[in-house]
Amino acid sequence: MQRKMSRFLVVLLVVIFAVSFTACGSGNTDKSPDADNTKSTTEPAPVKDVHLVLWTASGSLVSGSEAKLPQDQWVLSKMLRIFEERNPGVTVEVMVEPDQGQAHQTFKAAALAKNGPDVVNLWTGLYTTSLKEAAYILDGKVPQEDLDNLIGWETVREGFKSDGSIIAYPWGTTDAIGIGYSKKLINAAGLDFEANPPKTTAEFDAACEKIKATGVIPMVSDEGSWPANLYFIHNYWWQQLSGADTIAKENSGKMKFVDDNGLKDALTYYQSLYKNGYVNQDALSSTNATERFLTGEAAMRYVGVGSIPSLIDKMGDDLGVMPTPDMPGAKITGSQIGGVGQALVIANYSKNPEMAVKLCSFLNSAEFYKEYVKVNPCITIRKDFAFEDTGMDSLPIYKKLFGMAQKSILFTDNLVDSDAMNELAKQAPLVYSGKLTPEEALEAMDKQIAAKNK
Amino acid sequence: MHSYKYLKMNKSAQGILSVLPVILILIFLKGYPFYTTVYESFRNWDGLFKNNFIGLSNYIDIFTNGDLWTMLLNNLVMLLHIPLLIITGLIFALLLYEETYGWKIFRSISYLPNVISVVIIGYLFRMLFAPDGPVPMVLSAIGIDLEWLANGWSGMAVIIICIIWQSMGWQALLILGGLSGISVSVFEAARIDGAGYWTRLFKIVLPLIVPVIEYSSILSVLMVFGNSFGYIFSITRGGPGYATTTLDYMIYSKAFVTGTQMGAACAVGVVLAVIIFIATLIQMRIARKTESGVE
Repeated sequence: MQRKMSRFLVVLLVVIFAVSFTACGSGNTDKSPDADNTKSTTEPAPVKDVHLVLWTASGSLVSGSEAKLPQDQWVLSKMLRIFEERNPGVTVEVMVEPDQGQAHQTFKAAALAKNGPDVVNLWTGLYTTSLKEAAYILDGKVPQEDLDNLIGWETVREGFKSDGSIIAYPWGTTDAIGIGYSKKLINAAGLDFEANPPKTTAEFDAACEKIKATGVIPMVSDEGSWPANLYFIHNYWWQQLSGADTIAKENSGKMKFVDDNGLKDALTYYQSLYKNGYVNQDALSSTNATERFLTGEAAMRYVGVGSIPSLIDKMGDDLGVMPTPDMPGAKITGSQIGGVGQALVIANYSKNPEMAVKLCSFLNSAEFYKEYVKVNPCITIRKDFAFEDTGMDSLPIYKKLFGMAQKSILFTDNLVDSDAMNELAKQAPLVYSGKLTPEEALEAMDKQIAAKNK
Repeated sequence: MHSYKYLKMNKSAQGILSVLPVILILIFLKGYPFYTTVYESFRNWDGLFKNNFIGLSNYIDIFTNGDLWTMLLNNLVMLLHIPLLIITGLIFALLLYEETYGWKIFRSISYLPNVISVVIIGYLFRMLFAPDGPVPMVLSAIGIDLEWLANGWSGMAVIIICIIWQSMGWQALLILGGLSGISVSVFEAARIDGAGYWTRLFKIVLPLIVPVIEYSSILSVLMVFGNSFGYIFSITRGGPGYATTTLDYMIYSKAFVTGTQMGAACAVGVVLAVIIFIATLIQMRIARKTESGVE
């Protein structure tokens, strides 16, 4: 009896495995509706067993809302299946890093051990260019079409120079971090930011004073949520006053942060917002800027393109957006922080760098963006992708952001040495609450640069 | 026939061979990372391929840039949790020992926080003490307005309260074990001699549980210097500024936040190891003196 049972179990196991293998081998029939229209007419020669590993982060190649769905329902997954079909023998495995900041450190460790991804999605600027030793240099490897049709190449070139080595592919979206506001609350203060937004910090102060008189917090911030953290406004003012060249000198130690008057002025004005009560007084430790903005407790909040969908859901037409007001004496005006923030780095230990370049090119294709933008409203970095193609043109606020994004300057933290920036991030809250002077914070930044240059 | 000497050597050899695999594993798992840490502490390793010998430069930076003393002070302030933890643990242990009403249930419940992850408890306390959290709301109703996580001293207070809350049950069970080791006849003799409850507590119980308190104090000191990262990361992230940053958090900050000062992080790690070693030696010496005094 026992022998019969054992034989039965063995047969059952074999049947289960056979059925499973058959199911795995049936292939994915879920195709993008446009895929057939753009399928290449010349079939590439099949390569043998090329397996690429792609690391990305939630909120990037995989949008925050998609990350909650099963992996096979992501736009990225569907498009990668198309890439695999067009490149027989190639498989792409995706791993999602929950914290993109941490992904930079994880990739470093992987680069040392030479056992990490082929392609990794990181932030542009120094975050990527400082990893030059671990990256597959793309000089002469990028198709001319991509060089011509994508913006943001300077953010991934060494030294940010137009002829600097290309360390990575820019990817995805360009951003505009503007000041979001409730039209109702602004109008209640006797102001109209749609027709007449404050263009200077003096006008902004006057507006905040009027808003404050209505009993509402003019601007809400908190200590962590992106980009509600006031950190982003301050960084814009710094860059518009001092310029990227000054920051580059400070990074190398040729100039000290404590001698940077633009940075000091930005921090001092930042401090005045807090002192005058134009920012919520618990900004140092609160975590609910979004809730307070949505419930009408505050009139303004810093927003990026990615913040708009969830805010529009609750606020509808009440949500407006404007560029950051300019500091007096600014070299750059009428702009805001933003630009191309995402990059795709190909590891120099990748066994298939050419195929990895092809993958990066595909992830930047018009075909990919057309699908991506359906679930993740964004402003693509493709020059040949008109705003009307994004499908966002039905909402005026997106059109405004699209226009603003064309004038964005790159996120300042992407330009500044990471240790100095981290030090500023730690000290800035103490500066604007008056517990630290700007000079003390800047001296701490200089110490970090000095420590690195020994 | 084997001689006595041969048998004795054979037994020693058996003992050594039995523990040798574990020793080798420990040398590999603990010794190799320690050696690498010391090695890299004399270099300017940036986490990637820049890795040059720079002598004592990292150590000189640590001792001259002022950060070490700030962090050491934060560690020392955190040590304040130890007497508070011992007192609360003792109170709970005595209640359990006296088998007060509901003691069986309470014995299990009091230990529950200890099995929950430090990070979860840290985030819980962060929510409790956030500006819109229940604690500031209740305190605000009685006229105490304080942004707990925005000031160094109050942020540290939250961390200490969190550590005590989580460790109370463990401390109570430890002391309870010590109490259970005291012979009942000692209490009976004391009662016969007319000693009241408080006299028995201070003259008999406390002196006899000194070894237990010494053991828990050593563990608590080791926790403060080497294992407080989880609390700080989840509650204050070392802020505001560096007001609640301790030495072990600084290692994380240098090594993994920006990831460019691995050499410096290793140097801080070595300094921390030396401090822990010295602190443990001092504690053991004090405890030995106290024990001999008791005897």
